[in-house]
Amino acid sequence: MRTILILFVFSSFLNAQDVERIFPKQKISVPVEEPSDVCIKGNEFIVVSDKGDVFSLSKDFSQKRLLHANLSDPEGVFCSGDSIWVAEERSRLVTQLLYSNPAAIRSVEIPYSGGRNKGYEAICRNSKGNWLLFTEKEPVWMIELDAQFHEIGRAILQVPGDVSSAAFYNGQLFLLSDEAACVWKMDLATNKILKTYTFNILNAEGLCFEADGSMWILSDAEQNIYQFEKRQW
Amino acid sequence: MVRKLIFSMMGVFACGLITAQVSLTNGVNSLEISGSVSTYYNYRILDSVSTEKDKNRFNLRDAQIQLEGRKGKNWEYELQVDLADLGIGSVDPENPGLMDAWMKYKGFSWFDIRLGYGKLAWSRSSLTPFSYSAYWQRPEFLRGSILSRRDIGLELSKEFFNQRLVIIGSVYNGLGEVSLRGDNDVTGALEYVGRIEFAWPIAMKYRETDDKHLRKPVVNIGMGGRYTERNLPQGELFPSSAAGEYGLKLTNGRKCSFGADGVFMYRGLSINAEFYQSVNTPQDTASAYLQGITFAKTKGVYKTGGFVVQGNYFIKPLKLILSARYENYNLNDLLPGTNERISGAIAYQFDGFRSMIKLQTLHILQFENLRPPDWTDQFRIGWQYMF
Repeated sequence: MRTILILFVFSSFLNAQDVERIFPKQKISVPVEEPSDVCIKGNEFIVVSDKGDVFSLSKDFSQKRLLHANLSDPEGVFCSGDSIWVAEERSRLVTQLLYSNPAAIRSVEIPYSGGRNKGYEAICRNSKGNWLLFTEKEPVWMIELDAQFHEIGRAILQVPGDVSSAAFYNGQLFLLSDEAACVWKMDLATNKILKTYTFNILNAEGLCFEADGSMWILSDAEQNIYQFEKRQW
Repeated sequence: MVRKLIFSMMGVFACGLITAQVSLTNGVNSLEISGSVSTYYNYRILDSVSTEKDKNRFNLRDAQIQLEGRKGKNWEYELQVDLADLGIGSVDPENPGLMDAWMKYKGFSWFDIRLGYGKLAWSRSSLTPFSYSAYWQRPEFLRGSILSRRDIGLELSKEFFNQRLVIIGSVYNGLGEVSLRGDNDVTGALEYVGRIEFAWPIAMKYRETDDKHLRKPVVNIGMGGRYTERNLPQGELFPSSAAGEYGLKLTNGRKCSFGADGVFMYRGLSINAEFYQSVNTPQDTASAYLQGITFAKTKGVYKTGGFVVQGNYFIKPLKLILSARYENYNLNDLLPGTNERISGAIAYQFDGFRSMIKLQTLHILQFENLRPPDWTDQFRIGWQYMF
């Protein structure tokens, strides 16, 4: 009886993974209210806001341009070519807008009946060209869809916290967690965590990588973005 | 046998680890359906001299259904009922049958507007959802029996600096939960409520416990005030039960209340503190509330107030909240003595706050003779489940 109780109490200590604490090399104020995700497009950052806006910002975040307003609840963003895709949490929409003509938008509804404020938080595309959509928590679903947003499959990720953003770097999937204050490097074959990078950032909501290995983490409530050293993550 | 029972209970509690909160949407309108059920066992150690001998019971505290909706970016609404309290005749101000029924418009650039029935924005403790507490009971002077917690009215609010600064102003009937009966008193007066709060370095939700183990210290400071003047004509009375358990929720005259609250959170530790005071000026200088003391001494005023300090620590690997609380309140400053209570709570989370066992102990250190309790100690243990 005593052995079982000890195992029960300390079970969470037993699944220790590879954990590394990381420190940002710089912090920059982001001139966007309630920024909720970020991606890189050429020499600009694309930032979405809880207020429903999509902005392009210069690399030093000193200049911004409003691309589109009045989306309902953007929480995830992904850029490729001329297109920007925005995942909207409560409305369950993925909305595509063109950088060259941001007024014209096209939306696809991806049904999900979980908690209203626990819907889509992150969007990215894997090496096969398929979309990955992630729900925030309770539970964290990873939903794979083809290029036309038809569902291929889904899995519950057993991660110790919520998911607030997702990005690929060097073919590896990285998930950002606001509540756990960390980035998880995921094993796509098993959906398990390979490595955990922890940091001291509050309300981390956005994650992206530059080609040279610079990692950027966006804080919604702090309204700051943090740059981490170039490396092979 | 005891072992089997313990393991059976652990199995039952661990079953529903994924909650059933569901939502419907058509891309513009979204509606979330959720709710909660909670039951506790209450054990009391009675005062030896009390004539009141009722004690020890199971209590269905919550049987709630909540509908939260949103249309586009600007329209929100909420309806929340507690079926456990809807059927009983009297209104428990801490746990009323109708908990929320309001709509909100966020389309103006200079303020958001909310109209309907819901919580008054004046006290942080009152605004914190009960299910996010390790306790089974709020501090006595903040649970709605001395000042109302809910009412019908109009609220204007505005957030600044990424929600770090929030300013709220509102006007209500002033009768609290009794407003649901549909009438005001004969004065037709209203109650004016205001609150301002500031958080640093980030905005903070209304929570008691740092379950996220925040990586940087976060503080929130708030101040609130309420004002109403209701001078009843000779022979008129307030609606029945509107003055509450202690007869203090309404003053036949002027009632001005103010308070302040603060919370600090860092790496699982959280400290909450709150105080308030009501300055009551009965229109009748011979009012019984003035205890027959001369006007020269009282200036026609009696005060009600108190403070509470609460410390919590969330042991994340064990999913355990430990908490201790001290409260001190005075029902009437013209009477000698004060009320002191200490409480402790332990909560174990099977699935965050959504499935949690809570144990609370409460001990009365001292009390005013104005309203002596019939018990000295109380223990509550139960389970809350949110779906």
